[in-house]
Amino acid sequence: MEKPGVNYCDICNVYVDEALSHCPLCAKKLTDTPAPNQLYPDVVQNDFIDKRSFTNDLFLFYTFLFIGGSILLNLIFWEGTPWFIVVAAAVLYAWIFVRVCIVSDVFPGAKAFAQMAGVMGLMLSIDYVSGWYGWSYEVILPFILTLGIVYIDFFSWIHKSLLRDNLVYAIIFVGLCFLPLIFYLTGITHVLVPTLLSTIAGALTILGILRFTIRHLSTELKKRFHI
Amino acid sequence: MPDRDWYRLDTAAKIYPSISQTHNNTTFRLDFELYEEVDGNLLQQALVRILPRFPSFCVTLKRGLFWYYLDTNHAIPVVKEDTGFPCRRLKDFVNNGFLFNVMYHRNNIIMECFHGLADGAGAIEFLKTMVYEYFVLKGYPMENEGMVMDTEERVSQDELENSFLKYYDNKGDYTRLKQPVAYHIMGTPMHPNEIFVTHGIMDLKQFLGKVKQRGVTVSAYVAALLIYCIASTQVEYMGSKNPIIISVPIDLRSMFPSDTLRNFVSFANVGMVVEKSTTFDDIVAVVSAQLAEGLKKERIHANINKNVKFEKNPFIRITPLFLKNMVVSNTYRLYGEGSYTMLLSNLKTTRLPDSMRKYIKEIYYTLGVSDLNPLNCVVVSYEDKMIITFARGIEETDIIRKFFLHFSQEVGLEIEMRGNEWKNQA
Repeated sequence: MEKPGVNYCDICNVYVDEALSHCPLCAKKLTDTPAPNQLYPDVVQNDFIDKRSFTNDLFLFYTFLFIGGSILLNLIFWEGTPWFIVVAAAVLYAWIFVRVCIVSDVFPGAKAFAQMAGVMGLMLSIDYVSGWYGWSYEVILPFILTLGIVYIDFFSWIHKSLLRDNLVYAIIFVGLCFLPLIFYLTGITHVLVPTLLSTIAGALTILGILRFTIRHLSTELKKRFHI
Repeated sequence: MPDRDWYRLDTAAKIYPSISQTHNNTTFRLDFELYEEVDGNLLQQALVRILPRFPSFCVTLKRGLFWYYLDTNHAIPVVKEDTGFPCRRLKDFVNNGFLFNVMYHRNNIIMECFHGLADGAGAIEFLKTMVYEYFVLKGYPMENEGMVMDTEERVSQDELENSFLKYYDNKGDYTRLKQPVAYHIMGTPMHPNEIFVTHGIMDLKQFLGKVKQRGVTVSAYVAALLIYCIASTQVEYMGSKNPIIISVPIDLRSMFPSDTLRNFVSFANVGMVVEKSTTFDDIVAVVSAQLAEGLKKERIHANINKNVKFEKNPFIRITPLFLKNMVVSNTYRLYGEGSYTMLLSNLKTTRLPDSMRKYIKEIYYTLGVSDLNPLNCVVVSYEDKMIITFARGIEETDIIRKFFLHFSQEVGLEIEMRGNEWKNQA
């Protein structure tokens, strides 16, 4: 039964590579000093713990606890203001900021979009709780959209990543940049300067896309929108 | 067909990105074990040299609004030393966006590949060419013998085509989606990234001799044995009305001429409900007949038509990708993975020129497992050896044990076991 480079499992009647300490079929111990495994790298059991999912679960638990607690406190000591909405929006924004903008490796366009949505949600909630004066969508929305499109323009220009990674986000941002103008023209908003700012930023981005990417644009659109 | 510098996913690959995000490991691993230690630097050089010859591998996976697509990747893939478990999931690939990993470990040159990129037959052409180039860089005398792709040759459009579309007949018969729900192997699941591999190495001549005595093919024999082992070791199966189904991938290139390096496979599902009174011989007879039926050209053609029909459905085409992902992932559980118990892949004998064979000791092929079907089997022959590989995502080894005991105790073949295990296993 002696063969070089192998041990013998007399339960299963098989030869077992001397790199394996146990028979892979019946788990009988064959050697205390296994040879280096020629086929596979060593994997140490203690090193293999998924710490990230635990941290994630822990923070998720605290998030629900914090939001749930503030709702409860707000209702118990009710003074006519649903301030828990601001607390919930702030916590959710913090979540988006850490989860999407810091930890995740999604495209910068997606991070900017998440950041904009988070800040806007927070501003809308503060505006609503403080009496719904409309400053959030009259002033803050156009400013945030302008900042977002300027960020994506500069990032794409510096990293040469508009066509590669950020085109779809740039197109979405351009579309959103005209929202304040639509609001203004339909009488929903009445403040002109921020509206003009976001409209100009959107228009300049369209010109930039046409000027610098026109040759590749149709291919890029075909790639991304093929059915 | 290529669309300039990007590719639509081929018909078979369409579902892989969706299912790989959740519950299914869609990675396979090819391993050439050499007689000498691998030089990582030379392997990197060999990889860079052959890349232009394989444009369908120089891609990265991107999300479109309606479908995923493969976009040209201008980066360089990095050769790494193998660490951890085999068959990493696509999301754990860290290789400049490439959908394959080339690694080395002692005497082994390893390629792990996302199934959306290529099937085993396509990937092995890539690996063969890279290893050939590696030997050339080592200064070994090499002769191509028409068995390895020539890196100086122009890239043929046939290698990049979606061959399913070529053989699709929109007026032809197509397989209906309804399939019986198969029994699924029960066990203690391990962490999603933990895959343990067990290779059983036998003498090819002796193995084939035993199979021939039964008058069936290797696939039919192994599939029948797997069904028998599952039925007799899984306590949960007792009294189950669900059939044990083995899904056998078929390389379509042998039936439908194609030079594509992308996916061109179909599946034949074979199996039955095993009663207490069912013997191994009964199973062999049934499975052999089913496999012969499943390998009929018209049956496979109907399967191709079904798959392409699905892809061409206007409603499916205009459904946004995020919705497709949700639907495909769940539908695949029901009609894809749900319709079989275990995958059995029989990779055809790898043809290598004599000048390469003397430097290659063994060839191993491993398939990643899924949550629903945590065990699969691959049969590969090389030189005078038959290697049967099991990959498992559960702790229990009783099915694998029963399988190999059949050969070592009942048939009387000599088997050598290799594989991976925890280093500090008590």
